[in-house]
Amino acid sequence: MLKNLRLLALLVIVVIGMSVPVMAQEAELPPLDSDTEPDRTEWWQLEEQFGPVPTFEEKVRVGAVAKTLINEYWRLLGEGYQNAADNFGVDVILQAAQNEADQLGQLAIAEAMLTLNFNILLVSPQSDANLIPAVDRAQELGIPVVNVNDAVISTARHYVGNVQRDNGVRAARWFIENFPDGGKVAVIEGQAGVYAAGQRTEGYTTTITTESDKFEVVASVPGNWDRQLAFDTAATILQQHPDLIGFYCNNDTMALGVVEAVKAANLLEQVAVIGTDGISDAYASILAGELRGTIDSFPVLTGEVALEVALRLLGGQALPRVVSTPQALITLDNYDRYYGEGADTRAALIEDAKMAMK
Amino acid sequence: MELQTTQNQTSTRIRSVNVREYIRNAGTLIGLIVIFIFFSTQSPVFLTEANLINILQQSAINACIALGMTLVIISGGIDLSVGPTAATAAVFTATLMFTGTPVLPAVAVGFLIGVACGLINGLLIAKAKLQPFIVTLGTLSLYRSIALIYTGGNPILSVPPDFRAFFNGRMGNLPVPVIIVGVVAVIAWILLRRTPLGEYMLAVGGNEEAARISGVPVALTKISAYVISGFLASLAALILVGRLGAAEPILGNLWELDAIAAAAIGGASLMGGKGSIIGTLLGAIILGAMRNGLTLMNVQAFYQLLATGLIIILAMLVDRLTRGSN
Amino acid sequence: MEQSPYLLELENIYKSFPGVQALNDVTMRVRRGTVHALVGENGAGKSTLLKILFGVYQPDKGTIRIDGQPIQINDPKSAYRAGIAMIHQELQQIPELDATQNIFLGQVFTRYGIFKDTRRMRQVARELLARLNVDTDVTIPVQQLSIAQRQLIEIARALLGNARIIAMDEPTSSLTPNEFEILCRVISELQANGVSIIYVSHRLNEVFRLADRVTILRDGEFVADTALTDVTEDDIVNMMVGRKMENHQHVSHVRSQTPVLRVRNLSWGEKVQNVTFDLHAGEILGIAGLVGAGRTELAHLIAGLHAPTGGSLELRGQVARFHSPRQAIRAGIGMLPEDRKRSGIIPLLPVLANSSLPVIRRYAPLGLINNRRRRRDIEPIVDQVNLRPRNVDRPIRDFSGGNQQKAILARWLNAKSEILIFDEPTRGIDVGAKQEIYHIIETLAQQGKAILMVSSELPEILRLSDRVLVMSGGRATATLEREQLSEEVIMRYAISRNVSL
Repeated sequence: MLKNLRLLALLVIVVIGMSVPVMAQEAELPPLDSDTEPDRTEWWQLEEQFGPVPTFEEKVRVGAVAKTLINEYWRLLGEGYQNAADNFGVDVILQAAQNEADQLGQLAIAEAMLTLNFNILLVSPQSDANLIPAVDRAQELGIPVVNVNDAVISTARHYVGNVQRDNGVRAARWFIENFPDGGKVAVIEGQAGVYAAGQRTEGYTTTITTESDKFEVVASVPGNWDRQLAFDTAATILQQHPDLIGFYCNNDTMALGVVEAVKAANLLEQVAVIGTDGISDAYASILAGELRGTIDSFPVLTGEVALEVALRLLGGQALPRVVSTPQALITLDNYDRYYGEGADTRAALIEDAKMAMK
Repeated sequence: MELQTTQNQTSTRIRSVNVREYIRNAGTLIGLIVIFIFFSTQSPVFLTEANLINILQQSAINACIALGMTLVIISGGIDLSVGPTAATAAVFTATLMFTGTPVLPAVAVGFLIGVACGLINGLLIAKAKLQPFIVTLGTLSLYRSIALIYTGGNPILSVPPDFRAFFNGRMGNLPVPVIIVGVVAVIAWILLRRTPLGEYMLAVGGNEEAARISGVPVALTKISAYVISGFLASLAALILVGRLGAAEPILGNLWELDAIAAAAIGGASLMGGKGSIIGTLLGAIILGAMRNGLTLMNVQAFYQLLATGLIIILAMLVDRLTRGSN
Repeated sequence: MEQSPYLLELENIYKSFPGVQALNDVTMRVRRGTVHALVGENGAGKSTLLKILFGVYQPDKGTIRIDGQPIQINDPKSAYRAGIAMIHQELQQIPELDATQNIFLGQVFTRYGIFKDTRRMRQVARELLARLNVDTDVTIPVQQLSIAQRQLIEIARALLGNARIIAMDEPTSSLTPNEFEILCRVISELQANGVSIIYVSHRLNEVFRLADRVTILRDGEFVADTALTDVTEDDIVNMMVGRKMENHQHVSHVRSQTPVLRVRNLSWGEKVQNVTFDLHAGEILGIAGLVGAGRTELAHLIAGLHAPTGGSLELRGQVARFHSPRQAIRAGIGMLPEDRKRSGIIPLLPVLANSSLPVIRRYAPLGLINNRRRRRDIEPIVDQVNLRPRNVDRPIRDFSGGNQQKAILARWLNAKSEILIFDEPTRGIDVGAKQEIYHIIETLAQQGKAILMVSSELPEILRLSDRVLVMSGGRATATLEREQLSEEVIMRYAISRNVSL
């Protein structure tokens, strides 16, 4: 009897001991801004800061919810999950919504996956809010959730993804470097209200106007991630500003539409188009000398990093809240360094990062 | 002569309106049961209580919209603007709560916005005599733009905890949204089957000219249908805001199509004059169960779309066959 | 090959639908170049037989022969190929298309197999119509033509397909007497060319005028096939209904001293001009005239469907202005519209709902409909109008035309309308139900209702009316008392343009 009581007391203490820090942490956790969150680390520093990826005796099952498989970016991210899963010997199941607008559908998928007893969930939400109930529920069930890229769940405890603002900054610096005389530029934005679109655009506009005084952003209009809309918008802008020197686009799909508009206006020599994401069509266009460059966010690598982060969390490693993933502006000049024959993308990116640190 | 009479009476009984609706609903229910049996053989999780509650929870919002849609369709119209109506109601309510307005007045404003959106649709259709499809296609853009302009495209991420707690709560084992939608369905059923307004809707959708000659207030009936649809859109919006803890101006994208699908599976005819509240509820649950079950089976989204499409067409074919060559 | 005397033979045809034996051993033989009438009450099986001939239904048993050769008719297309054409009661035309396009619907002439050869099609269309002695512009949308012209275009379409058998289903239901004459001429010309006509009509006088023989059906069974020279109209009616019809005489009614409704100089644009009359309780006022005389428009004005452009209505001594049917209904006016399908019934709703629609709030004092109370009100009324089958829960579209009409009549009896407007009360209704409706209308007048009856059928007007208002070109050309009534007098005023009171 006494023994039982003591056991009970111990249990109570353990439970309280476990839950108190959790609750405390919960209360302290401010809404996440993945770009500025101070509690962060770089993807390539994980190994040196936290040691090797832990191994598990039982088979680990990772569930992943992507935005949609219509978009190549998310397919490549899924490829990265699978690569890493094969590499570490775990199972990963990937599900995605029907299209990028299907918010409730994605929520239903995430909720259904919660009933399947995954060890951890990787989610890339359609919007900042649509997966919140699933994340809350996962927390109740004790299933950790990693928010992977793009839309940011404000209550997320773990985030893996690139610094969205940095994307625009890189594009702006490329223009400053390559167009010393400056000129008129335009931005084709993604869907209004999406975090990534806002951050990228803001990064670009701020950088190009503060770090140089020779550029003028004559238009910054939404293309809704859509090729056709981007084409039409760009054609209109070119009519109004035939002396434009460049477009920055929030994704490659739109950039490819803009390239067609520039070609149609016969201004390919004069107008440089920079895209974002690094999808295969974009590289085909870069290699053909049409699209000038893209800020590659290395979806495959991002997927690999995300899965690695998931395993480290499961192994009990206390990772920072945000693990940022790499990106690089790739043009015809530096293509070989990342994607040429025998190129080691990882090594090249780590080298980039170390250079930047200095 | 004697024989003739008995024959007439038997065929008569089968053809009674209510009986017909029961048969149609039974068909939908059988479809639902078949789907449930199939998924339960495919996934051990499917028939667990937690998952069934999940399905109801996920179907609740679509069902809420679809109930309003059913009334609109029955009265011979269509409402494509439900999603943006919901978004507008959501962002205004959330902003009010965010800026310190107490929950109840903020919620009241949300409902008012839904009603106002429906009223505008209704007036344009019933009074200005514009086509429902075109009018609501227009207001689909219009209402969405209001939500986007008002918020500058940004989500409102902070919602009072007691508001959230209410919509995330449970009564017994059932989530509050499911209970709310259940109550709405009962009211809608009573409205359609037991009130003059419901009968007016069936009449206006069935034959507008005859209804007018019979003294039915045609314009008022149509306006009521759109107002109810707008109100239910705002209710769905509040449920969603409660669940998400946030209101986004892009919320409600393509809701109209899911709602029309649920109503059609449930037996509503886009020609008007025909539709069933119970059928629509079952239709919404079928769509929810499909999505849930296929996810559990790890079927990719593209095939889920395929399955949804087939279900809708199958339902229509069954409709056609059971109605005969008439 | 042995030449059969018959062009078409339908032999021992059986057809059943769930719960109904629609045709039970029916035989019909049509000789070359004759007009063969097919008569029977609604539900006797005429439509089913025609649909089998036209390939819409397949018979359960039985043979169809053309020129003595058995033939299988699988669908309307193969019927068309076999030289069988059908002129439907409701014309199968696309109103926005012109005569040429309608004639060539589904069988366009082309040049090089690609381009429409409009010129050649128009030429052929003109030739076909010339054969029918019609002078019609083949390039204007058919909706701008008269019903008669449109019907002839349909016949031209049949001729284009070299039809040898043309079935006409109630072809005269909306024709004026003049147009009927044209149709008669066309039919005899077709006959001369060896075309056989199957003529389905409720109007026995037309049958006698046009047809050589008649086949009579009753309850899906063959009753008789006889030459029309051997029988009288009464014989046929008796065979159709299977009982002796009593000969009907007009019943006079006692009308009220003061009129319930005074109509003074009522006008609605060109369609109705300065119409003045009084309507008393207990009388039946017939409104006669040709198609387009403004009769239906006059009825609509009184029922509140349109607001008049001039003149006034006075109801029980009070000036009344209606902006909607709703207001007219409140004032005690009910209308049975001309086109039952389009503006009378709400097809999917049960009779119970159809018959209580105008006053449904009466049954929902607290917001919810009390169906028991509603049933208690409606059931005696459907008994009064003798609805068959007597099942008020059945959708109204499942009833025959006559019974639909009774259900709509029940609507106004239940609403306690004091003034009833009947617009073509027996259009498309079979003989038996027609007599019933007449009887009901007479009873209603005896009970003190004021009845306004628009009709194109003079026998109907003569039989029922206490007085007749004759209209022509939107004006009232005469108000005739019972003693003055005869077909000739009415027709004289119907074609006159001068007002004489």
